[in-house]
Amino acid sequence: MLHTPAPGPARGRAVVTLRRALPSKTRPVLLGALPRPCPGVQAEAAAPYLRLRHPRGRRPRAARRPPSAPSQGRGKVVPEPLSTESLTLDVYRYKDSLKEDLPKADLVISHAGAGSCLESLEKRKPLTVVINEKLMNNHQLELAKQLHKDGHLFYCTCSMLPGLLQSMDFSTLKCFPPGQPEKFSAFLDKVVGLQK
Amino acid sequence: MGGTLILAAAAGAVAVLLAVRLWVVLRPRATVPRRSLSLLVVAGSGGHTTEILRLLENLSDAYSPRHYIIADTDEMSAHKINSFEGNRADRNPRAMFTEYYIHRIPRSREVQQSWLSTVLTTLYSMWLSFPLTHRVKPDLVLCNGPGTCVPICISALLLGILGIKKVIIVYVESICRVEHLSLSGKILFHLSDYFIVQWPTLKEKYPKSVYLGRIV
Repeated sequence: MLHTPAPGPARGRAVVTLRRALPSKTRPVLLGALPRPCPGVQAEAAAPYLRLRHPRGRRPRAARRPPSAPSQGRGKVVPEPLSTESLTLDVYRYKDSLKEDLPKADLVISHAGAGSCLESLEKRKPLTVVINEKLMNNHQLELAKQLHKDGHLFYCTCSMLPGLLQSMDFSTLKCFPPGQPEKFSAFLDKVVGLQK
Repeated sequence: MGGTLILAAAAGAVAVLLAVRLWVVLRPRATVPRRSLSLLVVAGSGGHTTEILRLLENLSDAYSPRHYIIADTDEMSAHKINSFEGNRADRNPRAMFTEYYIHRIPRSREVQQSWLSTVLTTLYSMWLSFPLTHRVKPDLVLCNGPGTCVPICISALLLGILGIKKVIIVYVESICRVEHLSLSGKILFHLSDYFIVQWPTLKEKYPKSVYLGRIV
């Protein structure tokens, strides 16, 4: 069973993971879409946790930054954290795992990264993957597409996201069975000739 | 003229010898029964590390000592490995101490690196991989596709070709690869003893691979 948020006026919580590869227009769309009510986030106001992941890349050249601005690490665009009546936005840089935030999430919106996708599905969280059209043939998308085909997640492009957030029905998603590393160890024991 | 001919003949002979040795090394053979074996894990970087540690979680203590190879600039992987081994030791207090080592070699390819300089850095990491593999002389090399694993697996193969030690090479293609093998996968498909894929589409395309279902 997928986790479904309790009905009521509670503020929903979405974990959003992005990466630099997503077009910069994703962020405004996300921020515009989330505060509106949607079936996944049962609240007038969602409190998205924006997890900004900045992969290895070139640092922005110092000249492009005003001299007073603090260094922003490797990433180029970092949204400001904000808190209004309808929205609390918390921003953080790369974390090696979503462990702390996932249990609290009612909805996960993620880039197509395998780590974030699998981690969310294992925690039985409703997952929507936003794909970057510019990376259509990128191998990152293979996994997201396959998992969508198997009915474990929704995926869309950035411009489709607001519509999808309104229309998606999490009850149609199928539970994601855990992987079976024990099959691997049994296979390995056999082929290397390990004696018990 | 005569000298050139002799040189060519010698080069040809060496090439044939290497090819024969490669064939001998890669030929399936009867498994040797054993109680323990040393393991060399190419953790590489980022998601690859997370994935391979999940595979290791279920392996018994017979796979010891465990040697990990990571990219020298990759502190995150070192941290993940240390906490993985720490947890493992906590779960199993019977083991007096866990024997594991972390080795660092330069990345074959940084993200966005140009292809020409990739050739050079790969040669450089090959140069460093062989002494490392020779020192460790593992029974088993396990990897899942970071760029670093190609020079390591070739070094392990060389140990076999030179008759120093037959190393079993097991390659597990990352769960991310549903329809296409990674570049490392395409290279090591022919050079590994067991090549494991995690999606049926890949098994159909590469019938010689092993498919055990989703194992991470």
